[in-house]
Amino acid sequence: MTEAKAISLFKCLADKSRLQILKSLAVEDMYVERLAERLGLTASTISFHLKKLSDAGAVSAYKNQYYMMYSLNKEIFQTSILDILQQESDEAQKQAKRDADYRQRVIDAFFEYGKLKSIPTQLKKERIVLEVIAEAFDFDRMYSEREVNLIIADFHDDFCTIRRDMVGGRLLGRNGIEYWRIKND
Amino acid sequence: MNEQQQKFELYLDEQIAACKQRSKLFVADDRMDEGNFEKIRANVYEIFKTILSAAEQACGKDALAKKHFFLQKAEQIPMNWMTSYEKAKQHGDVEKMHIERIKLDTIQEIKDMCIQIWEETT
Repeated sequence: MTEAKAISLFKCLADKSRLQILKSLAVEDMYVERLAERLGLTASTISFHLKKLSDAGAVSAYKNQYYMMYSLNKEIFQTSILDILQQESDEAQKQAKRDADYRQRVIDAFFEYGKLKSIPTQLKKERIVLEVIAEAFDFDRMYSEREVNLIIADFHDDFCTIRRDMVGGRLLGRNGIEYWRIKND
Repeated sequence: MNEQQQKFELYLDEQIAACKQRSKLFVADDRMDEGNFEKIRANVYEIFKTILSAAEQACGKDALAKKHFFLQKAEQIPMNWMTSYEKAKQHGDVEKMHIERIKLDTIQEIKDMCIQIWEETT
């Protein structure tokens, strides 16, 4: 189900009358007048709601002798909400682009010719800066504290603060003697 | 204001209040669309309450002239609604058709009541 269809369906379901119509159709297929009688609404109000439900893909119609019968599209309700949430959003690419743009702006603002101008006070910005510094470390390699300090000192003189924050931010691991770069998803 | 007009205005006020009350109940019951339909009905009653005032200004104390003035407007105004309904019908726009139908049904009810009140009191 696309995001637009999911929104349309959720909007449609957020109405007691339409929910009652769906509950009735879950029991058996019905025609407009039968639903109107059952729910105490006028036939035109039922038609109005059925049109909305039909547009949202919740019900479908078929002709049976003189009557237009409505039935529940059961397969649409078998989709779990988690499936909808896990589906790639139309917005996902835009969000990723916005995130990447923000990250680049922070890097441009805090780094000059590969050197860190200052340690950001905002945690979100500091995290980006620390992630950039972490890229100077190889995965699957152990570093002594001296090696770590030398690598960080290439970026900024305050290697103690940065080293400590990288460990705290789980960018570097430490076992008391050595350090290593942690793989983050 | 003569007796018919008083009675008719009272009827319109009661209908407006009833529609607004029903609208509130529908909204509280998570039936937003039905709540909106009641607001649409209330709007039609309000339009014709305004027309009743206009009839008073235009015709003074002449009760019959007021009735004619009112019924003439009640024929003219819904013409656009009828056109809109027919257009929606052509395009299978059930939602629009339902809204226009509500307006047309409401004005028919108002016209019937107008005739009834004037007949009762003359």
